[in-house]
Amino acid sequence: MNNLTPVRRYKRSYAAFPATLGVLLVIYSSFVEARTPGVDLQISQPTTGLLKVWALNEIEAQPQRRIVTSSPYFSGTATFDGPLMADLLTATLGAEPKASTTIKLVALNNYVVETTFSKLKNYDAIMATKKNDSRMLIRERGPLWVILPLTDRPNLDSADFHRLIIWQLSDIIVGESQ
Amino acid sequence: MIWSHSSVLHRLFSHKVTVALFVFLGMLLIFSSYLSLNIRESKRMSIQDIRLASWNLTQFRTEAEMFDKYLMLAGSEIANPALLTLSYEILWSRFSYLLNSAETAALRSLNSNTVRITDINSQFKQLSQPIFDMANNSPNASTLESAREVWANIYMDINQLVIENLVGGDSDIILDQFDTDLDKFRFIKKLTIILSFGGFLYLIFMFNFLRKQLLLDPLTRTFNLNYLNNKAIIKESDSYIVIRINNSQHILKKYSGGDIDTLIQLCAKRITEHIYEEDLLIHVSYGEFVILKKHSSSNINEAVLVDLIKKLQFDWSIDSATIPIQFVAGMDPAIHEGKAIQHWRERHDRALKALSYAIDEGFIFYASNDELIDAFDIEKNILRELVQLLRHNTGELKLWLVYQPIMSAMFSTQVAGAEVLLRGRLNDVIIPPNEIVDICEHHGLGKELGVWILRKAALESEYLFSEMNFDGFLSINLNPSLICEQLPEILTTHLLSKHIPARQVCLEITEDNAAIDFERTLPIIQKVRNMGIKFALDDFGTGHSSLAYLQRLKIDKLKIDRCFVTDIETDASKNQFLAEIIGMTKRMDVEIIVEGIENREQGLLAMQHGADYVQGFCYYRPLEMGFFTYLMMIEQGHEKSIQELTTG
Repeated sequence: MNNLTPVRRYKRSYAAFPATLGVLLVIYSSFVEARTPGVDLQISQPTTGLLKVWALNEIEAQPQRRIVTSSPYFSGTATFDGPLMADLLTATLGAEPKASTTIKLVALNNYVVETTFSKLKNYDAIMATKKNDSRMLIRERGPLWVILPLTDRPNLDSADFHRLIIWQLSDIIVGESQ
Repeated sequence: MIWSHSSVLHRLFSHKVTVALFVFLGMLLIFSSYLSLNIRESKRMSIQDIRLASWNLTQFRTEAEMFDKYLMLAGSEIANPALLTLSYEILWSRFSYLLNSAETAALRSLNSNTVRITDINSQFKQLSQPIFDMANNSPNASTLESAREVWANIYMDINQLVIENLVGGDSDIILDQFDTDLDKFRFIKKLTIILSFGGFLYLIFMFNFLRKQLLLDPLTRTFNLNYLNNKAIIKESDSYIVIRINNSQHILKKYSGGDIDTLIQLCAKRITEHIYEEDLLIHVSYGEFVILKKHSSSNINEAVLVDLIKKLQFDWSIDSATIPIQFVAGMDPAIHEGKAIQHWRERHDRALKALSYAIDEGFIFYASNDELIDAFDIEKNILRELVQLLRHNTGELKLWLVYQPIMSAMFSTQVAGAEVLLRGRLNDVIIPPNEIVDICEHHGLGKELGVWILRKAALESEYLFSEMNFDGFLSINLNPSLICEQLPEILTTHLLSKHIPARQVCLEITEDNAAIDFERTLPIIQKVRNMGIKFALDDFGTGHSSLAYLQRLKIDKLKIDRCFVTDIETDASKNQFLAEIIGMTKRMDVEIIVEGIENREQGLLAMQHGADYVQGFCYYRPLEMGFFTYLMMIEQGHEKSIQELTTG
């Protein structure tokens, strides 16, 4: 296959792109509340819509849990602080959801992982806001990073669980979409 | 034949083929383990690694695309500086992830990815300041233009990196390797299936073969005893024939096992060729076959079978010699009168009896009948009793000795000696002595019987010799088994004593017994004669010997058979014949005893012709020892009175 073909195609579409995207963005912004992503956590339900927008300092005000772990994403070990995901979700919903409730975790780059409440609870996942006692920039995979205690629980240290370790988390959708 | 193809199977399961198969399988095992080892070694990268790498590349491109969009919108009315910064930051984290994470190590190791990503990353970092500016202030056209130019290069590099990694380069090699490995796996899988199938087939054949093998004789490829015992259906309408090589002992002695094997194979082939297809041939023991003639008619023509046995004869060529091979057979004929079903062993037994009778009588074929079986049964009975008796146990069989006086021809009233004769009785039935001797000889008891007779004779005649100074001779028949190397020792141990001196003992042997193995017999007779014991040739004239070798035997007495004496007093030619026999043998310097004298005329004639001794009912019947002793007392008294008369 010719390596250059896709590049050329890209250049051709370059001029047509702004208009299309512009129209789409106008439509999008007219429906969705103005929100600056990368600074807060938005939790919603497909049925009832938005439940709560957590600001970073609000999350930090929740009961904290510390995880010291290594991971495939950085060398050595690092310390992470943040509330347990289960606690955070319970706090948002007002009551603990059913174990089988699906939880969709969405990242800034639109990476989506679907899991269940019981898994997050059983794995002791935390919503880390601090790495080594300081907040994380987006370029450092912050500001919110789902962390599992991989070092303490070696059975979690496999590709199956690594996909739950989502960085740059921006949205959580609780429950199945109707 | 039904198993004509079995030799192929036999070869298929021979040691050589089995061993070769095992060697082949062993090599195959080594080969396939080598292949799978090879596969494991070449697997530097897991599928998981490749999947992750592809995923990261896709994410990389998506995030670059996102940044591209916002950069394009920058400076326009719908520009969103926050999202521009966000996408820049996201892309930044992607770079650091690609360059540092353990998950992306596989991707970095491919092609020259590390260098390229580092290179693109350093270009990307140059955009940091312009993006920061754009986020805070409305950018001027030239900054935007230069930033877009830098980005266009980066974007192209990113695209190229992604494309080259997904298509072509090392990943292709790895995927190719995977494909070949998979092919190898498929090959091994196929091979294993085919081999297992082949092995399974082999096992089926082997099982079948072994099943047959258990019923087949490996030497002749005919059925074996196991078949006869377990599988063969023997109907009453079948004739049961046992057949073996005539005089097989002689051939067995002369040739080695391998040659005999060949001979037996030849015989099996020969018989197979001559029997009907529905008949069964079974090799029951080494050199002995059973033919089951199916559906024989009730009155099967024995002549046909004799003919068949004759036809089976062939000449066996071995070591440039040709040996005529003849068969002898005994048959248990088909039963048609509604008799109970018999076990094959019973039929085998009956056929064997017929066979043994045929061998004894020199026939090549004999069919069993009830009389024969009865005779065999009686013989069996006698044999059992004989064994008991010779072991000094009491039983139904009574054996005793009688003594028939032999008269001196000079004074016909004078007893010169006595012939010791055997008498037997089983449950009030008199058994002829020669039958007893024959049974003993036939079953290896001849020597024991001989010793028993010698001991008995010695015991009974001791008084006669010691107390009565008997000066005549005791003539004892030697049965064939006693003509052996140990004869002198046997005589010394069981017969001779200080009372019974060797010179008063005469041993009778028949012409035929002496002639069986003349060269062996001669030195034995010599040895015994040297001890002082006399020898008499019994039943002279009935055997097959010539005068020439009678001379070589160096015997002392000759007993002319009773058949030459019968009717001599009435038949002149018979009388003349006896005269000539006596005249002829006289010249050989032996004493003549004429047996079977039944009346005074016969005795006188025999004496006229020159007989030295006469023996027969005319003088005395065989007497038990008590009577004989009494007779001797009278004789001695008579002698004494004659002596007193002559001297007085």
